[in-house]
Amino acid sequence: MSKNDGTLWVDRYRPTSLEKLDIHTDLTNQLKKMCTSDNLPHLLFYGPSGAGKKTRVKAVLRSLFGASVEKVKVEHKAIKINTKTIEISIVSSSHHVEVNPSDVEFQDRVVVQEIIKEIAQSVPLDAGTAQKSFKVVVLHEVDKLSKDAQHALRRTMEKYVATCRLILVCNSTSKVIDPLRSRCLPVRVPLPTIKEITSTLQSIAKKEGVNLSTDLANRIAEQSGRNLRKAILSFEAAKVKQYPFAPNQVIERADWEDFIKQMADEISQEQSPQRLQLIRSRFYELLVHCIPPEIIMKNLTMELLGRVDTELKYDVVKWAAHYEQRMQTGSKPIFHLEAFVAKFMSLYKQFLSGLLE
Amino acid sequence: MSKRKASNSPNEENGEIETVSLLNRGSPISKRAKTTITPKKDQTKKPSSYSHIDHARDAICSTSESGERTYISLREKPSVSMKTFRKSGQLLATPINDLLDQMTNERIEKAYQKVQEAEKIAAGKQTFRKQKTASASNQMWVDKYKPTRFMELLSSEQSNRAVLQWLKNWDETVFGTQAGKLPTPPASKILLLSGPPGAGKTTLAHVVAKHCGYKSVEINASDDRTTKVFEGKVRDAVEMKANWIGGNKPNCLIIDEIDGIHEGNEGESAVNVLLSLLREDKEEPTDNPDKKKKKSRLQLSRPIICICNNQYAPSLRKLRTAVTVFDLDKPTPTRLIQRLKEVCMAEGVRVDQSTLLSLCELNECDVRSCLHSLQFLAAKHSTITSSHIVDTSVGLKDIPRNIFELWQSIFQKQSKVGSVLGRLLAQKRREGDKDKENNSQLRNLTVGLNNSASDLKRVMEGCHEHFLRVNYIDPMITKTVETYDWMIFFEEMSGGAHGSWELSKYSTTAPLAIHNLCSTASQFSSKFPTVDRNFRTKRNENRATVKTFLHDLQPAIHSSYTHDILFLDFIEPLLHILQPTKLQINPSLLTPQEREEINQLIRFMSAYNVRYKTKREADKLVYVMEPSLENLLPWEGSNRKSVEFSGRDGMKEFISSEMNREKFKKKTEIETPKTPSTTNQKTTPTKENSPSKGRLWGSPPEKKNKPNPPVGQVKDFFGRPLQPASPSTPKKAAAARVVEEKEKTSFKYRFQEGFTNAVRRTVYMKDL
Repeated sequence: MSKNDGTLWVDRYRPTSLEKLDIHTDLTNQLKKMCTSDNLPHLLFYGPSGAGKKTRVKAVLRSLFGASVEKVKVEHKAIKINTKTIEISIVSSSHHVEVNPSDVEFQDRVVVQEIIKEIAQSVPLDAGTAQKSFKVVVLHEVDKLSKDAQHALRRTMEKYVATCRLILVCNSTSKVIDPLRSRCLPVRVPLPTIKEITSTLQSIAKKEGVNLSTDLANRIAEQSGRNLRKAILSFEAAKVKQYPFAPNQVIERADWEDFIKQMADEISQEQSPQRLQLIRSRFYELLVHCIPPEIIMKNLTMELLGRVDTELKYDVVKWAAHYEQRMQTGSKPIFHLEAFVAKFMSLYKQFLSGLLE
Repeated sequence: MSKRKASNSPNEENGEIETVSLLNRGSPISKRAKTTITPKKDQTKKPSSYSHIDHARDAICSTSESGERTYISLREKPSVSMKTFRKSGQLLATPINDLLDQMTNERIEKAYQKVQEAEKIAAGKQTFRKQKTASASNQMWVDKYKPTRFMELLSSEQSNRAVLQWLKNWDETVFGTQAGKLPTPPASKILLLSGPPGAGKTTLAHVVAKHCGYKSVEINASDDRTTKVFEGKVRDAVEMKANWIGGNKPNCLIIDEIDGIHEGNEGESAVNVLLSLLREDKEEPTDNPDKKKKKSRLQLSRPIICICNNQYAPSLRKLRTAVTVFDLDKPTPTRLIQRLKEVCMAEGVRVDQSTLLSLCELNECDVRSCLHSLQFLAAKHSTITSSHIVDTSVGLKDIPRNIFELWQSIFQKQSKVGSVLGRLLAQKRREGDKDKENNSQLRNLTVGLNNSASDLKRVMEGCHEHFLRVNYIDPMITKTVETYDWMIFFEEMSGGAHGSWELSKYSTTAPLAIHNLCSTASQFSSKFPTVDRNFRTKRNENRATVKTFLHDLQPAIHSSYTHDILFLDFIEPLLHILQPTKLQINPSLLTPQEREEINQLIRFMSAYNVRYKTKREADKLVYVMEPSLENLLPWEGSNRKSVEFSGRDGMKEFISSEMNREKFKKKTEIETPKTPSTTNQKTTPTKENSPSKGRLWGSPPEKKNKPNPPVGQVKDFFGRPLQPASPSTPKKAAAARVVEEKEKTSFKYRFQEGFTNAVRRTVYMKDL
């Protein structure tokens, strides 16, 4: 377990079985029960990033099929659609297959239709002897699937239920269509508490022989926004940067978070079209780094909320929601992000001039 | 002097060839012979006038610019007596030479007047237009006053000449001066004339073709231009060799409105036909047997002129690179006014200079539309004044045509202060017609937007990029908010992400709204929007980088990561972890602890498949991370100082070589059982001696504990092992010598010029 195979702590100390999971024990117990029973429904894991959904899925798989699921291979499959060839990575063992259909963006419907059907249609040879008589298909980022693809999934789920179970993983169920939701057992994986994160960090520190003070562990956990992955990674980064830890060691936030904070400052300093132009370049920079626009919107709103009067907060949230919703239907996120900032500037200015009067 | 009898060329119709020949020989004539110019009547009218030539004398036939034929008979050399006359004194008040010159001048003057008269002859069989005949009123002025001769062309002299030059290059090929000699066709086979409408492209092409003695064959938008028909037509026109010998004029193919051939399959194929013509033509000299079988083995031996408005039209993209392109500008106002005046004079319409000027402004020097407006006005009034032009809304052609003009008219309120028209309009406005100007701009903008409906997305892209630069007054940012709402409206109307087009016809309203909100009177210069495009390419690059990273991840970890997770949480800490920031450059001075850190780093790197790769950059080898995750980190405009990622090439070099070593080690471990470590240890001192980068191959810290390294050095350099220096047992010494022998034979020093000053030597896997 603690063998140094060169991977980062976040990967090295990832729990591999349900027994080793020490966060959300209630949930884990339920899953355990489910795995021991003969039948497993389709599952829909949802929850924020860094809560441990994928880890949990892996653990479930392991308790279903034993250690052999850990022998995985990655296959890069090329699919030809008309004239275009798209490539998708498929992680598979003899018992399960993991696909991230959102890798292929617009063509995800084809992936769902072709690949999953192909997998679902074939029955494992040792169906009689193995523990379970079905395969499992894990689909990541289901909320990014297009509507077409989700509809294509509906029928597949019912038709091949004898040979194949689906485990869907997503951040939010709001973008998963109702028919899919009704076909799955939803499993919510909430974010771990600060306390849970600190104890995880401490146990890693113990295994690594690193001296981690409670204060620092707490600070790392706070900084991570209860995202366990982020917490462990920043812990390791901090260790590489300076060890033994100084008592006032700086735990750096992610660049993009800082960047958004800086933007919020710039917005509240000045409200003018010229400033908006600067903000535009900032937005582009964020988007260039593939930060999802929804996250930009969310973080920016949070930062701005901290800078305005209570009176304004309702309005800011309202408009953020308004523009976020528009963004989902539109094709150019930059319009909507800027529109939101413009709206905020307008609100803020009006508020300020109202104060003066 | 070569003299040409007039009777030699009775059928010459295109006199210009003659003119040229005359010009070339001009100087000898004037020196050696006195000329008498005998102006004749217009040839086309009276071919019988040939009989007027004095056949007893030699004569030069010449044609004036207008096609007026003149015969110049050559006189004998001036007699000696004449000369003596001149020398001795004068019998006449003025010398005979002067008189002769005077006569000549008078005749030239006369001829010139005739030319001017001839200029006023309509293109067809129309007689003088001074008498406004009934038939003339039926004809559009545009056709009536169409230039028929090269000198009458309104477009700029320079481009006219360039086109003429291009066509002249064909002369040798088409007319074939010397028999037996294979003509060399000009390098560029196809000409692409581009310019705004009404600049005179079509006229230019026709006139020049006629001027050079071609028969122009025109294919325009009114013809059936499906690929098959088109190809047939083109080939017919270009391959008409046999007919030419029969006496006809050669063809010059003019493909008009080539950009108007509908985009998509059809347009592409029309261009492809031309391109394949060019290609076949190029392939021909290779004389491939396969090519000969081709039914249409063809040499492109006739000029082709293509005409288009916008040379950057997408369907012309391929063609544009393969052919010669001429840009034809609109005629200058002065020239155009001059011509309009002539026309008005001929038509008996009274009009003054400033009126014409404002007409030109209004129509943006579009010859065609100027003439149309003029004709329209002339039908009602015999005297046209500026107020007429301002009052009538006809002929207004002030519609933004290309995308740049669109942006400009979106963001710039029209005010033509400084121009005649602007002043007139301002005057009008003072008189109470306030909204007229504004309305007309809006209307023009609407028309312009509708015209470029296919490009509307780009128009909006430009609006988005430009509108913040416009200094519109917006104290409460309300206008900006509204503008954004319109942009979002546009996005919704044009289908958004899911592409439904039912509502797209409403999307033109958005730019109009933006015009109302953001336009100012100040000057606006539009640029092509690049920000969004740059953003997309950059983002795709980054995405690809991360994709490769994800692609190469170990199977066990692979499914734990997605793009978003990598971007949001993973890459930055990873880069921090992979950064050997506090390590010093000289790897041989590492402490065991630091060494362990490096080993850990190397393990990380190989676990996540990250390597350092050399890259040549400005004469320097640079080590870059592969996949280039490093590029992701510097944030433009961020206050925070990012981690220093450069300047540690030595370290990177060391790491990368260590990694290679690790890899080899793994391989050899699999292939062969490990070689005894004693040999490995013993060779280390000798390795140290090589003047090369010994550190490249790792120098474990233990070697410092080894006794007498200098002794080893002496041994090696002088080739003679120093016996007393090795106090160890003879057996061990012998073993050492064996090793040395081996080392000696395997040493190779090679100077690799240009790459590095290092000395290369053979290294065996087992020694690593």
